[in-house]
Amino acid sequence: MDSNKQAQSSSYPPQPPTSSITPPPASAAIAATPPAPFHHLLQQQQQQLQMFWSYQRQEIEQVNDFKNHQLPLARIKKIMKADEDVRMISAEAPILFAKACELFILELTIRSWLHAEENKRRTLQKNDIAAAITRTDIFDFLVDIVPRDEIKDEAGLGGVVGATASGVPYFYPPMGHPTGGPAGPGGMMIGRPAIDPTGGMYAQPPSQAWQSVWQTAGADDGSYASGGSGGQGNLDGQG
Amino acid sequence: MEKVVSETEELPKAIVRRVVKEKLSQCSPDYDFNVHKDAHLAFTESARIFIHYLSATANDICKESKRQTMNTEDVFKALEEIEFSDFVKPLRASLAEFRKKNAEKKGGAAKENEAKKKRKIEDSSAKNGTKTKQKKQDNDQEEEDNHESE
Repeated sequence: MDSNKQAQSSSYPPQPPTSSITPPPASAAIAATPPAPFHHLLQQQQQQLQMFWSYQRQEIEQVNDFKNHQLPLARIKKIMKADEDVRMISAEAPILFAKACELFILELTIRSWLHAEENKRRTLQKNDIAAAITRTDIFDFLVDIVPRDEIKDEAGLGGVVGATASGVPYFYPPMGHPTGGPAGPGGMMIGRPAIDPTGGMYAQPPSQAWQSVWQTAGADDGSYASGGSGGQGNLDGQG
Repeated sequence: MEKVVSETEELPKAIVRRVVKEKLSQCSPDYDFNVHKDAHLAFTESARIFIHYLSATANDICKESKRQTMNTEDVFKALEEIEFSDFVKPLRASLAEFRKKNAEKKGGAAKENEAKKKRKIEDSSAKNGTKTKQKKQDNDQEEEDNHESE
């Protein structure tokens, strides 16, 4: 499996030459054992960094890839209008939303992928997404949407799940550094604890939980501008 | 297992799935990455919440400016507010591209209409030309006749 990977990865642009060099017959004994783990790690890190930069470039290029992924504007408009506060929307706004949504999904995918990679998996799981959300401050608004209900002790990382009186999971992110390195792509930060559960927000299924989050938070937090049903405010003070 | 009826509008799963899969195949070109069904659901749901989040923020900004209609500038300001300022540049470019294409379409359609009109005029004037010539001849003939009759 390992040797396979190395053989294939030699096709990936600038690769360290170690992978494609077949060991000379003199060191047949060494050839039987896999190469030093250090090389493998370095390779992986290089790959990840390259991935990050090519991703950045591609994101800008993808801007012009207009026809391909366009999310349906009517559907987006409907989603926006589910919020009663939102009344009139200019014709161009849904277009921005479609593209922003796509960029968002891309961001979330990459960060989730990194987590899966760190844990040496090739299947993206829900807890990868949950981890990405935990690690990225700006994804805090999602913290109740993708609950991290199974904290697995993967690769020696530990996360502690506690529960408040209201039963809302209030968890601390793992303190250890993943093998990808703290200076990982995208400025991944070890996130801070979840948003303060200021009053039983977790009783309902995810799709409705968010509305109730906003409602209760609107009642509690003074920084929310409008009251009223589904009153949403600027979620500052979280960053 | 109870059936959950979704009352909320969802983004089309196929498109979300496609975006995710394409990005994954870019992230790891050497081997296939699979996505668990639960994870796909999480992506779709997260994207929907993102729309709500951005929309609500933009709406507030719009209201602060005492306007009724949320416009693109509100959205850009909202992105800064929710700390997604990395999105602003590509989105501005995307919007400019869209506006250009729209203008081209309109310009193209207008040009086509103009061209059609021109062709019509040319056709009819060509017909008229022969007619008028004919008419002229007839008229002349008539006049001559008239003259004669007098």
